[in-house]
Amino acid sequence: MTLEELKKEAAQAIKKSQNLGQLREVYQNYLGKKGEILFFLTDLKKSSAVQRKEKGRRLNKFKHWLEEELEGKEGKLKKQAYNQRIQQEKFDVTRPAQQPALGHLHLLTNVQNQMEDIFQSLGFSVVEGPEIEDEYHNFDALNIPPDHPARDQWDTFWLKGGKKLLRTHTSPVQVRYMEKHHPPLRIIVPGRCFRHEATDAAHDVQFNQLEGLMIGKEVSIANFKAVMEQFSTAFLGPKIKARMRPSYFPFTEPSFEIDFCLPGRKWTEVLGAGMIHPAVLKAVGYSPGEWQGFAFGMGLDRLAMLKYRVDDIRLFYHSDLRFIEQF
Amino acid sequence: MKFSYSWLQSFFVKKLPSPGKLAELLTEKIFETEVLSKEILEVDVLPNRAAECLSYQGLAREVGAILGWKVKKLDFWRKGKRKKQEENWKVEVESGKDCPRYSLRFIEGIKIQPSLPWIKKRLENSGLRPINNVVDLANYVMLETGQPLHVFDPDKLEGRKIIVRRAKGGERMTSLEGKTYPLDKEILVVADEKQPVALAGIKGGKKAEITSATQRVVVEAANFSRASVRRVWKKFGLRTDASWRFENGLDLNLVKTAQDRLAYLMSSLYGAKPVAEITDFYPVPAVRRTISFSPEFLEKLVGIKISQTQISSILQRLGFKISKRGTKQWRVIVPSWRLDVTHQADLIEEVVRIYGYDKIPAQTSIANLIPPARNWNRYWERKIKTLLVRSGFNEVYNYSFIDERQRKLFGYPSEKMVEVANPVSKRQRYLRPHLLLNLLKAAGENRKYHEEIKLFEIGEVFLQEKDQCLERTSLAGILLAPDGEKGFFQLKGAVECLAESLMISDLWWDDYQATPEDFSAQIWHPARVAEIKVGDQEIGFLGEIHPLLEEEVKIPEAVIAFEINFSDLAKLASEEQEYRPISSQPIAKRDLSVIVPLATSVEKVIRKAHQAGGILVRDVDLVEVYQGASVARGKKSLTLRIYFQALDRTLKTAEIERMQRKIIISLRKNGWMVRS
Repeated sequence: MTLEELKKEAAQAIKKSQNLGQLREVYQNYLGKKGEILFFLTDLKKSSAVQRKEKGRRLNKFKHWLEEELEGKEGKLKKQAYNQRIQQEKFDVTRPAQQPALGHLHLLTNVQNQMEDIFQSLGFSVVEGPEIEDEYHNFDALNIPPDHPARDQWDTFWLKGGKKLLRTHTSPVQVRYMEKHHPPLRIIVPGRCFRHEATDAAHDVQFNQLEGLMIGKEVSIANFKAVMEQFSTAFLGPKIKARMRPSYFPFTEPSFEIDFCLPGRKWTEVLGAGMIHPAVLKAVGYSPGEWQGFAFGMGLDRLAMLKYRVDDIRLFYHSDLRFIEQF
Repeated sequence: MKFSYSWLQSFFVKKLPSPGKLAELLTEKIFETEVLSKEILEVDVLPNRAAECLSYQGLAREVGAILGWKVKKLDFWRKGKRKKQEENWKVEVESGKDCPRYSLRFIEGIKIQPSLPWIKKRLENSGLRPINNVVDLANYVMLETGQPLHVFDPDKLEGRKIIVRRAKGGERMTSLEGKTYPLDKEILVVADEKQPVALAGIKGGKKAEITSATQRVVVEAANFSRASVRRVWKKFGLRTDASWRFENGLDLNLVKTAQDRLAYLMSSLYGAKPVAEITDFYPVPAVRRTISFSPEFLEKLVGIKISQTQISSILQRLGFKISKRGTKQWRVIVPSWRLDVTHQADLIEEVVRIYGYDKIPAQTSIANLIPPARNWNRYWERKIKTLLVRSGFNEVYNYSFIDERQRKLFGYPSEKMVEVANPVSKRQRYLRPHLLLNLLKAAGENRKYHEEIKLFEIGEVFLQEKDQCLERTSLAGILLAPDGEKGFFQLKGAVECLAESLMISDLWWDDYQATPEDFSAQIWHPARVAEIKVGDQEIGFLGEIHPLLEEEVKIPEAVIAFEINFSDLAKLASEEQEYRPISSQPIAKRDLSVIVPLATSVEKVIRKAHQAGGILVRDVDLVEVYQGASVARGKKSLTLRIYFQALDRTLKTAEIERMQRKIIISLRKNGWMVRS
């Protein structure tokens, strides 16, 4: 057999190979230790020096040619096998998933966290206080003397055996904080409050409030408006509209309320506020001419209802997982 | 209060803005207002302005100030030819404190008949029911001026004296509707010489009622103290159009205004004949109040400059007078009807609300760059909640209240409960002493719709300790499991996982030890409850709930729960963590089998082994628990794996064996058999 014939035969064998095993066999048959090439090598050894040079060159050329062919075929076969594997491994990625069993935070926790983050970024510290209060902190220190008709604005749960009550707002915490700290100050007070009233979709015997207080030498209504603008856009987005109108609270003067309006919806009352009443400043030992500031209180439940379109406040306290798992 | 648009219009020459526009203006400048119909506005009069704005005159004054219009003056009775009261009637007021002013006027020539149609219409549009011309006109004047009036038939009274006094114990009064009220010395009444004929400032009595036979009337206009009216309200829960107005306090001058207005209308509309003068008890006339006011302070408080011309124009439109105008300080005279204005801040509110809150620009404050202090309680609370959610627990918010049935179910003694004095319903009898009471209820309700129930809550719980109400923050979780034992270890794992995430390293579990202070509350299954401890401190409990409870609440699954004192947990989590060097030295493992009585806790054995081994024992794990053929009855075999490691060197075999021998000896001292 001449080298030419061998080349033809080898080319044929490579072509016929269908997998890597067969291809390896081709290699063994031609270039292996006992392969066809052995005959040509032996012949080479027997040849004269002149012939040997020429034969050796041709033999090398053949060897390189064959190696390249084998490599090329190997690449093709590998790709084929790879494609086949990919075809076999295909599955329907749209099938339902298996989720890790995560729980859910309560919506009010979620909303409270959002609100705390916003106010903390504006320099307000978060402060807390007890749910059982005394009359002094809940009313008297806030310029609501006993038997004043203003007390009727806060329907109160009283406790048996003494003059304790369930706080009707988070404002007593402001008083407690001011008693112990010197101005200037910026705080918010989130917390559970209680109202002695019949329940319906908009009212419940308990609710959560977030109270705010900022006191300084020159803290003004204009400053309050800026804080509210920051808060409302951060919490409800840039499309939120707010309006401010007069109101009455014994512990602020002037007093006002803020209504929010989301695009395409009605105005909702969310917040009562005002400039801290001189009597309140005096009660905690601040000098009213020297220090001034604003206080505000908003219903966390109300804001959650507004943002997430919850239509019944009682859903927050009924522990129904069909509600809780939505958030 | 409901206001008739056309009645309000009658106070102005110019045409008022449309009802919708007017409502918007009022909402923006004074009270939230809703348009009920083209004719009726519902105005939410704030309590501090009730003294004057529960009246047309008051609201018209506000509208005038907002629009900058003049308000038409009402017509009043001018002294006619008739002299003093014909009969010698006397007014006697027991206490000027209860009743600072009391006046009477006789009106004769009365013919009782239905009111004129326009009067009826105006009353109805303001939410009042027409009765007859005299009573209606008294109500009409009340709506107009804000001063409640009361009309008696004098010929039905006994004696010639009207007495304003506290009632005596045992006295009674029957109202116009025929309801009888038992009276006592807290109640202020208007009486003739024999008995009470009206609850002062609240309701008239049957005795002196106006009937079709009435030919002359006596009109009472008085000022009763807020406190006296509130006492009646508190006692009988009685609130009327009159008491609503007295409760918020009224201008003392209104007494005369209302008398003269009613006399004028009675005479001009119905031809009645009022006497010239009123009988007037008015010992201490109202004082004119002045307040000093600084435009500079207004600028500081509001944050913008409002010109002095604008300030004085607004104040004057509202009826204030400026008696002295210095560059820095003004003296402002408060009109008699503005009982609410006592401070400079009140004047500032008047100016700024009429000026318009919408005109104040938002202005970022110039404050010190003090970063907010971190609230560590809130920080840990958030973290703990997030970690529990990651372990598959759902957070719930339950009510802070429980009812009597729940208290009994859990066996809480009533003297330990913080009890609500005035619950709205029986569901709010007590404050919750423990989070589990309502969590259990929530679990029971949710199992109807869900297979897996894992709930947790953080909240305040309350206990009564003699005269003290104790309040603390608690963390509790609950889990329903088909198998109690498996559920126990599942929940125990969740709590360990929580502690580990909070980097509380020395959490351990101890057998439940009832202390003598424990009261009879029945929460935990006595044989399946553990104390959760960190170091020497007990921070809570974990266990299956009491079998009797499980039966009672009709939950077929086992209920496993934990309760941890939140503040303790937060405090432990806050403790500083220190880096523990990583050792590159090899770890040697040795296994030991310990045979102990069934009742001996694994925790105890592991702790003993750890202590005995000393500092080079890195960890002790339980590999296996075995009970069966090769172990004696009543005993169990525990296989422990002990890990030895030093920081600075490879431990020698002899060293390890020495430590292991120490452990074995120590364990044997407890009477346990040990095999290595």
